Amino acid sequence: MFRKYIGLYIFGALLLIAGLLGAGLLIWRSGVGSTNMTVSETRLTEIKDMVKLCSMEVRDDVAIKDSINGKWIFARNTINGYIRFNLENLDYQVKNDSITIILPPEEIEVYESTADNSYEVIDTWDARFPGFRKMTSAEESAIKRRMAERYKDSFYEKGYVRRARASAVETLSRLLTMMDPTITVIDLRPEGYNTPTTSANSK
Amino acid sequence: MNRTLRLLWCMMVGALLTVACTEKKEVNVFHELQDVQKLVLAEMSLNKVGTISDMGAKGLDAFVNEFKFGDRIAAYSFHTYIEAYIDLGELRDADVVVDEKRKLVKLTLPPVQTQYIGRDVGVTEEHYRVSGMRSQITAQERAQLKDKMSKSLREDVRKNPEYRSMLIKEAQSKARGFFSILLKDKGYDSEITFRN
Repeated sequence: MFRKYIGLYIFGALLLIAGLLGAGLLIWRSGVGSTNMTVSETRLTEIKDMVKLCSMEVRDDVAIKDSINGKWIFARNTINGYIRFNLENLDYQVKNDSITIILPPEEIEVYESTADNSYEVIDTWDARFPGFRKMTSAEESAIKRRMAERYKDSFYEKGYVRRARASAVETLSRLLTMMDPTITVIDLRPEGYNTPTTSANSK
Repeated sequence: MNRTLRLLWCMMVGALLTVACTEKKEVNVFHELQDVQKLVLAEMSLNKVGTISDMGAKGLDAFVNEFKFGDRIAAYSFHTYIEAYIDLGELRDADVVVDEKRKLVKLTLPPVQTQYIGRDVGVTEEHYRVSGMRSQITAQERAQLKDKMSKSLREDVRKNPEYRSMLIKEAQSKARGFFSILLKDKGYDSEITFRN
């Protein structure tokens, strides 16, 4: 009699275990899927006035593979870079009846593009035992700022700064001589003012 | 014997190649460099806050959330920047008319245009609370949220033209101030207008 039912009991127990495992798996797998993402209203923070000449715009897809505190990330980032010159408080020299304007130092600004899928995280992993740690937003932002600094430095190495400065001299000369033919624009530092790693700001 | 070894070798290489191919993920790379002649006159910064949480989940997700131990909520923010500029490449000689008798310069500037210059590279963590058995927020989730926030911001700006008109007004006022001072220094009064 007992033998007759033992198979049924075992089958029932296996069915129960399978059911529990399935439910557990469902809950585990739904960890991200069941998460809700909400976005607040847009808020205007600031309007700044300025007079800056922008002579170069660069858009790049940059691969990021870097680590911080033993945590690694591999991602693709679309970046916008700008070379600008602040025209307020220009330095000038007056000689006889002519004015010579000196091209100011370049400002390199780097931003992440606002286009769709500008930042795509392909892989993240923890290289330290036991390997369960996740990268925090502070660590991720630090890696991305490091990438932005390297990106700015590359503008000097690739000759973008030299090219942007030459173009700025041309544009500024044309603009100012339209109003006063005695104005001359010169560039005392065609290679750029800022040495790599100390150049400009990244947001 | 040799044929068997060669066959084995081919099978091993084939298997390795299959593994390598399946794990490879394509990364599209593009590069675009442009010489421009933009006189940037104003910049606007806009802020968004986005949250990742279990609250607000619907249907099966809401039911499943009831069985989870702990909470999972985080809020992030970043700034997006829009600039207003005039394209100096569109400035023609005829746009500057000098009246030496009256010491007056009539300057017609190209129209003020706006463009998104980008958003912050990093994000600011405004709040983070993950408790119980819940998993930490991942970089992938943050990237998805950032994308969603940018889409929503662009939509907000598109629906509300006030953002751009405020920026354009600020830029026009700055341009008038800058050029009138420049001409005043040379002893000229000025009349500054913008092309449509």
